Amino acid sequence: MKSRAPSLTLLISPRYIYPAALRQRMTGKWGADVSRWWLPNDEGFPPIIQAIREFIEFRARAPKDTVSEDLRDMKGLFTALTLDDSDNQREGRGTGTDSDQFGDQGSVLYESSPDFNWT
Amino acid sequence: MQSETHRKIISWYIRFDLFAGLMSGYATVLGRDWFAACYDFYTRQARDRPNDLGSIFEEKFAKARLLATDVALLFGAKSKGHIGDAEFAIESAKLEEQFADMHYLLKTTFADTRKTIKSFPNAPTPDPNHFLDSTDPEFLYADELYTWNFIQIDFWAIEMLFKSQMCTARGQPPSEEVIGYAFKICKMFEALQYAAEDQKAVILGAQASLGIAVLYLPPEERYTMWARHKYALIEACG
Repeated sequence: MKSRAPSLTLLISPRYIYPAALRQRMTGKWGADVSRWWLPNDEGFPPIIQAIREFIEFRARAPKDTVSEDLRDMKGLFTALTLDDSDNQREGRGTGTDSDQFGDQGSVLYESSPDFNWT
Repeated sequence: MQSETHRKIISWYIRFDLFAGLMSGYATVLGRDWFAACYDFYTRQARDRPNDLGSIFEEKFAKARLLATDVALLFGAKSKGHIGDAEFAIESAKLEEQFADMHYLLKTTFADTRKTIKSFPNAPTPDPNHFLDSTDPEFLYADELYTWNFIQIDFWAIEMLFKSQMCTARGQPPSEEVIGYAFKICKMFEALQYAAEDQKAVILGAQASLGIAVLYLPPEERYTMWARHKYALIEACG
């Protein structure tokens, strides 16, 4: 249940969202695959929860890819010797304003950029 | 009164939720002193305000958390080899006595004067084959004692964990008694859910204990499917 902490930071309203780790554990115990959802055929799986889950998984994956992408972009910027605002906006688009509600994970991108900008 | 109670339940249970995580196997983050100080405060408060239900409730919640801490500490010490068999036997016997005392208090304190909830508006059409009697009209405490249901479900989960760890310490599988507790907790959760005006508050308040109980249900299809429906409800609710 160590991954409970990230789920708690994603509470928008008094809602309880179970971490993937719990679904994995119960899959093991019950011998039925509940890793996607508790019931077969997505019964009772509300679209909003699906959307939140997909976002969680995207954010969990994104930093690694986007940091390497940032590296490439920064190198490109240096080579071109221009600080172009449109490049900053391109990095920002993937996170949008939704990330503000989602705590730390949104800031990973912004922490990495300044280091490469100004050293 | 009920919505104020719900607010209190929500804040207490989010804290108990941390406990459920602790009982899953971590060391306690907060030292025992904190829980003991908490319990002492509420005990004194309950003594100063003998007729104040809120103080009685707070004292019971604090006692349950202190017991949970002590269970975690005792079994943690045993598994790390910090205490020998003799000391373990002494300490576990003390805990057994404290659990028995609290069990008796929870059962009897308001047993004579209480009213029980008779109406379950969220319940589906009764199924004679259902393994829980969750619309039992003599089960849930009503009105100003409504919080007692949450004190019970909380305590039963902690008591169940203690008894199950004692079974493990004796090299035995979970006893009939332990499994009995699991069913009692499931009954309480479903009863609260079926009776509740505000299902969200019930779910937030009681889902931690349910999660622990589900782990001890026998591996039968009907119990597993029941649990899966409850998890889906908990996650979808709100």
